[in-house]
Amino acid sequence: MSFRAEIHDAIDEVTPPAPMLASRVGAYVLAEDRVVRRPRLGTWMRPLRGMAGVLAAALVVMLLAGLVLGGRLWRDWNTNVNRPMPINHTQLKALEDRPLNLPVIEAGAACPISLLDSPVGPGLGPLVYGDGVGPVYAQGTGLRYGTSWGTYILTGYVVRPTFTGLVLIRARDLQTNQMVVFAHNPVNKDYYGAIPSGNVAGKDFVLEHQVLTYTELALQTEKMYREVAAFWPLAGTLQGFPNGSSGCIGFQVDGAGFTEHFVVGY
Amino acid sequence: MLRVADSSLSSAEPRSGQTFTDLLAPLVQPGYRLACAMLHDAPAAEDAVQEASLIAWRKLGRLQDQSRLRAWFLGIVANECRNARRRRWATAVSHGLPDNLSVISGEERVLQGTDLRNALRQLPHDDRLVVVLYFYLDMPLSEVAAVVGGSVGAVRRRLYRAVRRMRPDIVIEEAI
Repeated sequence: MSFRAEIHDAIDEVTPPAPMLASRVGAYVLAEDRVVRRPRLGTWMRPLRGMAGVLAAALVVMLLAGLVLGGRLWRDWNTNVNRPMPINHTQLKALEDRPLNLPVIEAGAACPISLLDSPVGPGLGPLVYGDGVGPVYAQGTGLRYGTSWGTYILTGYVVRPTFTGLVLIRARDLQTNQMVVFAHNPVNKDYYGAIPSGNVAGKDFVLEHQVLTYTELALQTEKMYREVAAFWPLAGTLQGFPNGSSGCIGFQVDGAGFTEHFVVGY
Repeated sequence: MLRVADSSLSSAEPRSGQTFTDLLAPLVQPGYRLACAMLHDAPAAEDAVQEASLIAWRKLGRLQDQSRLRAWFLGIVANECRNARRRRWATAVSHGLPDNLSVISGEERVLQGTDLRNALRQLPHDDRLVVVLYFYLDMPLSEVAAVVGGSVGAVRRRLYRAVRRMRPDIVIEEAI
């Protein structure tokens, strides 16, 4: 056996196949990238850059002064991060009134993980497979954040463009019956239509920020992120599972005219 | 399954989902293989590729020569692997682990019986990188040089030295 073949064999043994990796990375990249995207300055604005720099420096000084004088900005910041977005409560209540219809699985029994669906459509971007049967699909980015309470997974949701309106997502552990909680990703300053809602489940410290966790997630499709108008709307959220969770999670997704169930094994 | 759009690096605002599918998605698997070979830890390799992809995505517009895309991307992956190893070391330090405990993962522990992987792991980062790019990803020396940012001659010398360290008894010409 040649040295090259030996190297191949040796490394292949520690390289398990990762067929979903490209789509997962794509979802992560597109979700995270929008955090830092800024509109480009027009040519006519370039001479104003110097003045903008002075203004920015003054703002920094004011910001520091505010922090020194009582941490008020920090409190406001946390408030902003955790403040629920305005939502149509009549529509939301109608969806919340639908019974949560998820099975109970005995401890130790096999988790009935749903098959991944492969939504097809122009403007879908890098999503190749998603959890769900449509019109709402979920895709975990693989990013996990552990806290003393449990584990949070950064998850993206895409919605088939033919559906518009409010979507309600609820989930629980099918074996332990623990509720899954939802929180806004504190690193991303924009909600993009993914709104943790329902009851406040608690507080936690995730990604170096305090977040409020909620028992439900609402999606406002018209406010979700689209690269261009024809693309599928996309939004991300943190989904949290408490310590002791079996990882066998059932989801119920409700919207006008549909109810969708799927089970994910984390 | 996925529509391929007419996008290229030369466009003014190339960063769309289709651009990712067209340009970076085909490089994710080579990047993952490189990261696995560098880190010997599949979850850490996935993280490294993910972070590298985000960096590449944000800097994509600065790359002028599309023919260098693969080398450029793999260079970013390699850098992320280096950072991942540093973070692992830093984690060990911050946890204050006693000297007699190692911080290698269970997966790595299984690997310890395999001489070749052990030898590879003990190489310095840059040496390991050229070995993996040349022998595992089967890249020509010129492209390996583009990834590591050196000349072909320097890469060849580094490769000779690395192989010699891994297998002192091997005939170099036979290996390369």
